[in-house]
Amino acid sequence: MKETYQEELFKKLIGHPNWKKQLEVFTPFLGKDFTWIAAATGPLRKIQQNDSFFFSNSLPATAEDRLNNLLSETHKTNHIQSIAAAEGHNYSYGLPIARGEQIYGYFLICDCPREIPANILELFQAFSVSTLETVQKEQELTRLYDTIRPKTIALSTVHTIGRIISSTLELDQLLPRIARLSLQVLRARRSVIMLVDGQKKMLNPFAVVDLNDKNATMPPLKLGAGLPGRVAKTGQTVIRPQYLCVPLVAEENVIGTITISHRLDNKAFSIFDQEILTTFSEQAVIAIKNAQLYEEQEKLTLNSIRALASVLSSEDYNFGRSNLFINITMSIGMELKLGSDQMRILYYGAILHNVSQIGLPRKILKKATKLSGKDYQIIREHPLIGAEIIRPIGGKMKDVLPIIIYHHERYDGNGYPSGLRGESIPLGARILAVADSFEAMLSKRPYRKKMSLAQAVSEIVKLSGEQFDPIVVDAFVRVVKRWKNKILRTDKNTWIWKKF
Amino acid sequence: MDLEKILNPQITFKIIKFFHENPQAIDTAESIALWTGINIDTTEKTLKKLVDENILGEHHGISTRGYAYTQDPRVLARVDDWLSHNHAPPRDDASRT
Repeated sequence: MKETYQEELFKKLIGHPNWKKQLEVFTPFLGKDFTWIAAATGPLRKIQQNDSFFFSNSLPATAEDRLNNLLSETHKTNHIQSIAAAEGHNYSYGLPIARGEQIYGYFLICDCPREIPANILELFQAFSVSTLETVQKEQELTRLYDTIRPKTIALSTVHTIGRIISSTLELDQLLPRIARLSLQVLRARRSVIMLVDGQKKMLNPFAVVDLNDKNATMPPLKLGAGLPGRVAKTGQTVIRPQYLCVPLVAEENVIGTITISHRLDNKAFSIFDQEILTTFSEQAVIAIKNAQLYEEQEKLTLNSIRALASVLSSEDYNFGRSNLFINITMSIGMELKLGSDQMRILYYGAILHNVSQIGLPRKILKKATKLSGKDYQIIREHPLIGAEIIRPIGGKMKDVLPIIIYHHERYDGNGYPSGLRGESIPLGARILAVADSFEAMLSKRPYRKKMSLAQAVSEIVKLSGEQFDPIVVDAFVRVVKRWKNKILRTDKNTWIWKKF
Repeated sequence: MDLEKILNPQITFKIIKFFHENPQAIDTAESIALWTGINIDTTEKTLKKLVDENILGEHHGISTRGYAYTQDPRVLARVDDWLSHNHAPPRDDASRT
């Protein structure tokens, strides 16, 4: 028979150390051989007699009628009742154990050899109630702990996941991370994230993580086809014993789906799992939208840069950089094992660093004779002009500006505009310096003929440590030795550096 | 993997028991220290050790490192079996004979 809260409480009371202590204290007053019986209400029944614990639906048939009557009277009146000593029996008392209006049960104190004063009985009753209150508080705290703790742990998990997935704005890193986290939270084997291509009405896989198959894949689906396709089309979650698929919804539009399959414990997915995945997907959508916005902003920045580069390359300006220059610059970057972010910044610097020449007088750029002191003064200021033209683009440009400003510095400190020396010159600027000079050497100028590949390489090496960073020069030499004349290819399709 | 050796220190036992009872949890070292009542330095060291032993996994963000229970079914089965035979936290190593 299922215990009520009341019965549970009463049982804890008579098992509590305070109750045992109470019996010890009161034994001298009650007589050492007294018997006590605990009885619970609803319906009235005996649950313990001294140290024997038992539970019955009614008072056992063997119980004396007088004790039955005592218990019934105590129950009826809710006051301490007594049975006077009679032949063959000692004194017995019935004590209700109550807190306010709530009666939890009764103690029958039986076989007392002498009459117990009323104040002792009341004291016993009061101590019992006090112990009951202690037990009740302990029980409530335990219930609170058992209820709140798992929810708090779950909340902490949600918070930690939120921090982890919002820490990257690169969609190609974010989506596999979300997939792996979803497997962890749902204790499942496979997770697939697909995003909607609205124009083509397709659902494309962006992350597939399968603990049993590192090379797991998923084909694209038409909207409406397959489980994820149906979820994407309807916006409704689907739950099956082995599959759970929820839509990724942003501003009432379905942007994708996340499908989890095969729990590690092989049990069926439950409504609780659905709730967890839905909460998780809401966090994921925020992170995905942030990443997509970031990508759009990056594209906007790049398009602005390309537009500017096009202007530079136009006939009116002719300040664009050749494919050879970009080829060399990026190849040196690859050789120096720059990260993808650094390569992107190097690329922007490479295509834009000549923007400052817009401000230079043509007569200086085209001068066939030696430049005057005044001409040099104007030239030394042009990197700063270039930086001011680029600065308003914002975003990643703040990392590109140093490349533009310092690409005419010399390793020995004799460059311009600031006379920086050695590694205080940004690495991108040191790379551009080598590529710029190499390209210039291979080009015809108004004041000299163009050099051969071998001559240009030799000249660069000669200026290592003076004009150029020795580490960059070494990387440059390795690139040229590896690719030889292929380095001179200007066709974009034959670029020797992989597009980062 | 010698589970007896790995799980016997009381601190390790407490952390594993936490994840065993909350297998879906992913949490930082600070929070795990709070849930288990162990100081943060000891918790961090123990978590790293358990990651090395493949009993826990890690999920990284830039500034956040979350720890989670392994998803390897073989490890899960072994830990489950060990815990079912060892209900109470072991005595501290210093008191073991």
